[in-house]
Amino acid sequence: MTQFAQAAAYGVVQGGLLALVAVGFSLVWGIMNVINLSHGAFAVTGAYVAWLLNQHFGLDPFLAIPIVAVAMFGFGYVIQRGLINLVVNAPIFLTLLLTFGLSLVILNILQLLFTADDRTIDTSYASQSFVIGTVNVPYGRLAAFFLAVIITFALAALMTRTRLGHAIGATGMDRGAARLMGIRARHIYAVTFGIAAALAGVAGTMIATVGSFNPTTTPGQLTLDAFVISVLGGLGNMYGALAGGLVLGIAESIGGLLLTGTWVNAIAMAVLIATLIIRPSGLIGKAQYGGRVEV
Amino acid sequence: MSLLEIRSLNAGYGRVQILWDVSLAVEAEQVVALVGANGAGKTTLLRAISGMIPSRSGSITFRGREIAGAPIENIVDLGIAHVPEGRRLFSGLTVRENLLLGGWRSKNGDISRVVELFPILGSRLNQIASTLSGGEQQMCAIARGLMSRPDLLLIDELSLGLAPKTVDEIVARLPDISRSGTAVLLVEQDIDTALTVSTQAFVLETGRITRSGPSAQLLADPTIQQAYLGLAPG
Ligand SMILES: Nc1ncnc2c1ncn2[C@@H]1O[C@H](COP(=O)(O)OP(=O)(O)O)[C@@H](O)[C@H]1O
Ligand SMILES: [Mg+2]
Repeated sequence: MTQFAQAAAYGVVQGGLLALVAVGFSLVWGIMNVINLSHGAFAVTGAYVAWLLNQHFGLDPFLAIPIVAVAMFGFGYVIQRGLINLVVNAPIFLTLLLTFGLSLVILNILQLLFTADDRTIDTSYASQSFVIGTVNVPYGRLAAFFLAVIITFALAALMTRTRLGHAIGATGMDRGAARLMGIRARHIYAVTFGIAAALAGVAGTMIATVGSFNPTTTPGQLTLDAFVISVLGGLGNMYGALAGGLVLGIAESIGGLLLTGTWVNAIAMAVLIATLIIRPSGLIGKAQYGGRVEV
Repeated sequence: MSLLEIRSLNAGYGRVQILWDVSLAVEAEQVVALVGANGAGKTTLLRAISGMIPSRSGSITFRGREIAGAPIENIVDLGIAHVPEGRRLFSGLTVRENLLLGGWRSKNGDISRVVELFPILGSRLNQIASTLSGGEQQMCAIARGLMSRPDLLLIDELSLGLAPKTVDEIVARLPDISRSGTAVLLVEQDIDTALTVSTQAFVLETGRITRSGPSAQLLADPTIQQAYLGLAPG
């Protein structure tokens, strides 16, 4: 029983981090209909930025977050403006091909620079924890979880309460009509992509702090998780991504107790298939970005 | 110099040419009608004016400046607002949010003027746009277009799907809009309504302007009556 409670607690925390990976992925998918297969690579790139800052300057990963966010926002903005914009109106197959290729390029560069070794960002508080009942909760993980939840809510507030958020939503609903308002769709897309990359980078940093990462297996796993969570939560739905992240985090964590080794990877696929069969619109439903109209 | 002047415009979609040698002018502070049958190319012409589609040749000048080939956003900046066919409100957003997005470019956050024009919108500000009635949606779309304080408002199929009474109600506001400094280019299949509210009119047939002149004159023209108003020649 203790074992399950511990796994569930671990799953909740892990789920919060996965949600943070997924919100940006879901946002990009919902707004511009791009399934970004390089999203996991973005998360890992952010993790390396924080890792380098920690290695060379001893910067705490939590303090590195603003730097990672700004750097990854810029990176995402430029990638969208220069590259993804070329295929935004193209058939989905082309965007998949392009983002998959982009992912390969990024990961190969990372591997050349940093080797394929597992990395982790060590902190003094990584091993400190407190106990609730029989469950052990590390401080670092708890902080990472709360940060992930706060950022998710902040993103939801941005989307529903601000002028920029409305412009992003409007561009997602009807790009042509948004342009008629004078909204620069290319810029809005790039900002959206930048936000997604920044959140992925922050999530990557958190993952590197509470666990480890490498440029070979981590990115693919994160992209797959983000995909499953987005479908589970409903495209472009921030709260859905949070709920989906928690579900997947707990499922993978408890599944890890019952299944061995690589079978854990099958859990994400099982959750995906179950969602598509039982509730294809996701836990909470698709956000109001549907009904894209061209011209 | 006319506010909007189009000369020998050729435009279309990809390789398909729709508009052939179109010339048209809109004077400041007037309501001008562009009428024609379904598929004549009226929507295409508005799209070419607002920059949604490129033009192949010919010129479009607005306040004396060439705008053919300019990006949509710049054309909005210069003072043209386009109320597209089917309204295309941002359906998940509220009326207020829709209106504010209309003022995106000019950073105009003052909705009082457009609410004065369509008072019913004042009581619907926090309602999700897709839950409005058809007439209210059209009002919201026109009001959204006016939020950029344009010199020229392009309205595509104002009457589409609306009850005649609602159409009359909205059309009655067009002279107010033009008098307050925003000329209107009104595209309509309902020719009777369009010719009644406008001062000048252009008839588009399969991508070509075939008739133009003072609206009253066209309205009285037996050939127009026969072709578009379903009246027997007499
Ligand atoms: N997005 C589009 N792509 C290709 N052809 C189009 C498009 N929109 C309209 N057309 C074609 O252009 C012609 C004129 O259409 P349109 O301008 O919508 O006419 P109207 O508004 O007068 O009814 C039609 O033959 C139509 O099929
Ligand atoms: Mg039309």
